[in-house]
Amino acid sequence: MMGDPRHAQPLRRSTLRLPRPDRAWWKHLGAGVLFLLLLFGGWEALARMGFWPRYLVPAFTDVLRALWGTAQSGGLVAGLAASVMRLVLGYGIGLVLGLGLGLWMGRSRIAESTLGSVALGLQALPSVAWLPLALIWFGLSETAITFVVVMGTVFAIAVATSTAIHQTPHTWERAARNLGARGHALLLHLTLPAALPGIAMGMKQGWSFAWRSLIAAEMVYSTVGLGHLLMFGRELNDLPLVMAVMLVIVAVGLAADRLAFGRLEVAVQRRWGVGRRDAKLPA
Amino acid sequence: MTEPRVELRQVSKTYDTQQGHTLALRDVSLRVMPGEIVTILGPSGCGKSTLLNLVAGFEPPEEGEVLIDGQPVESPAPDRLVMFQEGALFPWLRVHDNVAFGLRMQGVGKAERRAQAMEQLKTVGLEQFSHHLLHELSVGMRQRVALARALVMHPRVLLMDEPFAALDAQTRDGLHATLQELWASAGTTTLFVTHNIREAACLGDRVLVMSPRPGTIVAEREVHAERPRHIEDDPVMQVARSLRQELHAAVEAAA
Repeated sequence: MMGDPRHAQPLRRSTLRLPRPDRAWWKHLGAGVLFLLLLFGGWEALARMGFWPRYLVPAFTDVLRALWGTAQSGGLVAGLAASVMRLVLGYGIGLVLGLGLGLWMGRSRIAESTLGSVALGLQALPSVAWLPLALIWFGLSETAITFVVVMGTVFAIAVATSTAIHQTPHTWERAARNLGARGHALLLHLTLPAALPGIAMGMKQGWSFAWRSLIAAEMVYSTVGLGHLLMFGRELNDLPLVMAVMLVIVAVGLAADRLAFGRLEVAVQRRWGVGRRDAKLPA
Repeated sequence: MTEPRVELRQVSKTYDTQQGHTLALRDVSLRVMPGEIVTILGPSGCGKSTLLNLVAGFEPPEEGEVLIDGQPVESPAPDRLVMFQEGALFPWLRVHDNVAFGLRMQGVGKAERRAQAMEQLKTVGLEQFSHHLLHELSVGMRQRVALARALVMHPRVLLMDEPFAALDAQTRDGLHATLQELWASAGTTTLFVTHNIREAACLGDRVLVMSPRPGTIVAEREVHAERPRHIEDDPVMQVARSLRQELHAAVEAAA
């Protein structure tokens, strides 16, 4: 008379658990590495054939040499450190504000119909467009750049959070209220956990918006940072340096996704049983 | 004479829809005595779920009164628990934490609510699955969890909104058996809504037949067959046959 004991596994206590890397995962990783080797190899060969001048189409090894050079001179480390610090600060502020705003829009009809459309509109504004305003308000300062990063983050997270709350099945809230959840308990034990898969997606998207807007802002105005290093390379007409910095920017973005946000998303999806049931670790 | 556990006095309820006002319930009066199991049988869209929502306190009636032990219903509360068709369990919680949700909201300590949840899970045969996640369970097992989550609160009345409609016949029979065992041991007063004629006859001490649009009670039938009953027992089938005629007459009259 029991249902099917399809999953009679031993008891598990962990809260959020990631899938363990399996054979398929290693295979996936191997294919990725092989592809990159081929890509960089092909690039190297093409550049060395001499169809174009090397200062316009540098070889992959030229780019690596430039990377090594800027790393040794300390320029890369200083730029990377400055950019990551700004990113963490701006994203942190944006996350807190975005969650607050999103919760408010998700739970209040008035906030949704007023702030909701404003947030949606501002989300469509490329956040580097805030830079002139920020420069007038805050002058040529760190605050101006942080402001742009916050603006890039906050609306993405707010809109994702309020959407996730609106999509929560009505019967969940009824069931929770029926079982005695009210006020803060309802927020803490129903609204937030029910919206977490959507919030995790918003956090990931907010992060990539923050990273883009930071680099853009640093390119327009900054004395240090990866965006600044890019423009510095352009002024020297040093294309290998420009490409090296581009590689670093891609690497930081990928690392954040693979090590933090992608993992968070997969862990939440598996726990909640939403999305792809067989959600895999990003390789 | 004892007071009814649940009483509806001339309750009416309309809904605003795009077509204008729709009368969902008209002049519905009913009584459920303590320990009694009443099934409400009606076609889809006859307002049976609306009736449960009123008793649960999710919505107020427009006219008439809804009383629990003589007190008017004002808001949802854990003494009137609904078991939803789709279970409405919380996927971020493990099975035992789902069952303990209501206890947690009442401020019961962790060890105590864990113990009570495990006890209740035993009564539905799921104690081995207490640490599972919901998507690891079958639909039938999930409805058992939902039943445990409601019964662990010892509600004054259990409100069941077509909870077995999505189950295959075999799984549903298993749940009918478990439910009847629990009624025998706990004596929980129950209002059970269904569109399945044989299910209504099998589970109810009394069956109320509702007509569609506007929903109103058109027939009442006591079922005296001995418990535990199976949905294909002869006495159950006999009651179901006469209920079928009454239901058809009600639908015809409404059309």
